[in-house]
Amino acid sequence: MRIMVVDDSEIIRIKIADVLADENFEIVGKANNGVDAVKQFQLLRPEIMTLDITMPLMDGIETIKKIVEIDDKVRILVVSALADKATLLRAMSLGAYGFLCKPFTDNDLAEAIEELIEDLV
Amino acid sequence: MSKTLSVIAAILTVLLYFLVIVQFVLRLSKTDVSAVQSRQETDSIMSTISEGIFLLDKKLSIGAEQSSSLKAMFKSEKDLEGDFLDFISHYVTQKNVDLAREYLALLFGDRVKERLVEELNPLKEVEVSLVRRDGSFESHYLDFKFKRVLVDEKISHLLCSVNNVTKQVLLEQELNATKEAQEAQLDMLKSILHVDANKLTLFFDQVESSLQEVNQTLEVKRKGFSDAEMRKILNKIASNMHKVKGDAAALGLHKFEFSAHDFEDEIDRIKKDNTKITGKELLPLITLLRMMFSDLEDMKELVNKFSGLSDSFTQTDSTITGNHAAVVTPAEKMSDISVADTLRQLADTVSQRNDKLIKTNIRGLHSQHVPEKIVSAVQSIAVQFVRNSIVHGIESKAERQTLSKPEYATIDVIFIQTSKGYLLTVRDDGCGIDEQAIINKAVDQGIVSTEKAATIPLAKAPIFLFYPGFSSKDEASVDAGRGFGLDVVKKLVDDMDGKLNVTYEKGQFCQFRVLFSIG
Repeated sequence: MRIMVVDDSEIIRIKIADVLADENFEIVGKANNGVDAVKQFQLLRPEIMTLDITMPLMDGIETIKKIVEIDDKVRILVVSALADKATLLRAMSLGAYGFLCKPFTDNDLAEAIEELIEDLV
Repeated sequence: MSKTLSVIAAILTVLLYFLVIVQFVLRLSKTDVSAVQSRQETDSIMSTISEGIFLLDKKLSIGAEQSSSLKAMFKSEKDLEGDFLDFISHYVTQKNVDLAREYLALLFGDRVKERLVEELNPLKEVEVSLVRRDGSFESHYLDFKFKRVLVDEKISHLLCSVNNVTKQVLLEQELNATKEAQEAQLDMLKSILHVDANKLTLFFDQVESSLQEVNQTLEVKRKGFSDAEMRKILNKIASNMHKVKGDAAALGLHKFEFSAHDFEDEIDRIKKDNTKITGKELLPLITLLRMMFSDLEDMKELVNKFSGLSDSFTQTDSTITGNHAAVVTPAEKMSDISVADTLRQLADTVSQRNDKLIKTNIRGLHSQHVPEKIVSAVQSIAVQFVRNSIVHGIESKAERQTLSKPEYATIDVIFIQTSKGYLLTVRDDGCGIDEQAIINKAVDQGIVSTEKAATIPLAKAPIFLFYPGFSSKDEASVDAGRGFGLDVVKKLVDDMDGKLNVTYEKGQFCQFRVLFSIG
């Protein structure tokens, strides 16, 4: 499974990458802002993506919109430091498949990814 | 013959038809009965169940089948009907209505897992305003749960169940508030027990004066002050609060720290939200300030209640063994205290042997404070001074009583580092030095001739104390009077290139100081 990690914190990017590597995902790209994320997505077309909602340059919601425009089959896992329902509902309505709230444990992340791709074969 | 057969056949056919029809009718009525029964069962359930239950179709219209309790929940006379969001907009905030719209749309779409989005339900334990019969408003908490109804594996409806959870929510809120208050109190207590009583008192004074400054600044009538002047005032107040925050943080007094922080946040908000500040915008600050004053009073009260307890745990630990009371600071307790320990034990022993009541105050003599090079010398010197203090300096119990001096005499042994070197001070509140007696003794012991003695100024008399063999005691005891003591001190001091000094007041005190130079 090809996956892309988008977060403006290097520590979080590394943490997510570590967990995913354990689960045998292929990390094809990393980005630290929305604009970059869209560009890379265009080129790499991963099947799965983790996306931080609170990022500079282009916020997560905008990013989701743009990415879903390119390919609406991608499974986006929204990662958010703020637990505000409105933003998360918005994200889900726009096309995200799941969400995870920071701070999260490695286990939380693994479970969330599993749920995300449950019905994919 | 064939005619009869035809008639019989016809009659049989009719009979058969009849039978079939009768059977059919019977069967119909049986189905009818079970349908009626079914209907009755459903009705019984719907009229008794306490949850509000109804179905929502894809257009979000409320279904006709509803539990009776549903209308009661909304204090309505008739069944609910129409558009669900329209209906709910009369009871909850617009924001919640908008969020509900998105949420329900997600539920009807089959992309997202039901379980996952459950957390995002905006109508979970939502506050609802219900109108009473008299027209007044009542606040309740209702919990709406939505579940997908699948027909042939496709989502056809959403089943909604509503519960009135007002009691539970209010209880939880109360519990949380109590918990917070308790934690704040515990925090205060912990801080009080950990912080030195002196530091606390100082902190209270400083906070009080800072808060008073803020109060005065806020109270000044500010008509006609320009926006710039107002901002200047705000900055001054902010800086006061910043100091309070820092002091509180340093002492681990979190409640104050956070209150001061909230105050600073409020000031920032006022500066940001207003383009022109005239004075009334500062009102919220007054409320916050009142709260801080009240917290300060609470804390002072707590401190007073526990001052006895706090004293014995933080400031001094007075252990009185026999004749000797040792004053120990917590910092000392925690480290390796060889010299100090030695001195205390010594004081213990000597005071008992000489039947004197002594209180020692030893500071700065943890092994890490005393440089290794001089630690042995320091100890020896201090030992001498303390011994002599108890034996020669401190008066007997009876004498002290006659002189109206405190029952327990005090010996301070302080070791500090100064710019000039390490300074050891040993001071007692005993009888000081009797110059004439010393001179007489010196003459007695042949150290100086009578004639010479007459020319010596009294102030110089103490110098004889340091002569080898000099003793103003008639009989040597184990502890002192042997005459070998202060001369040892002098030698040690000379060897280390140090300085020796004695100050005293007859009948009041005697203080020896030794300066060990650095290096």
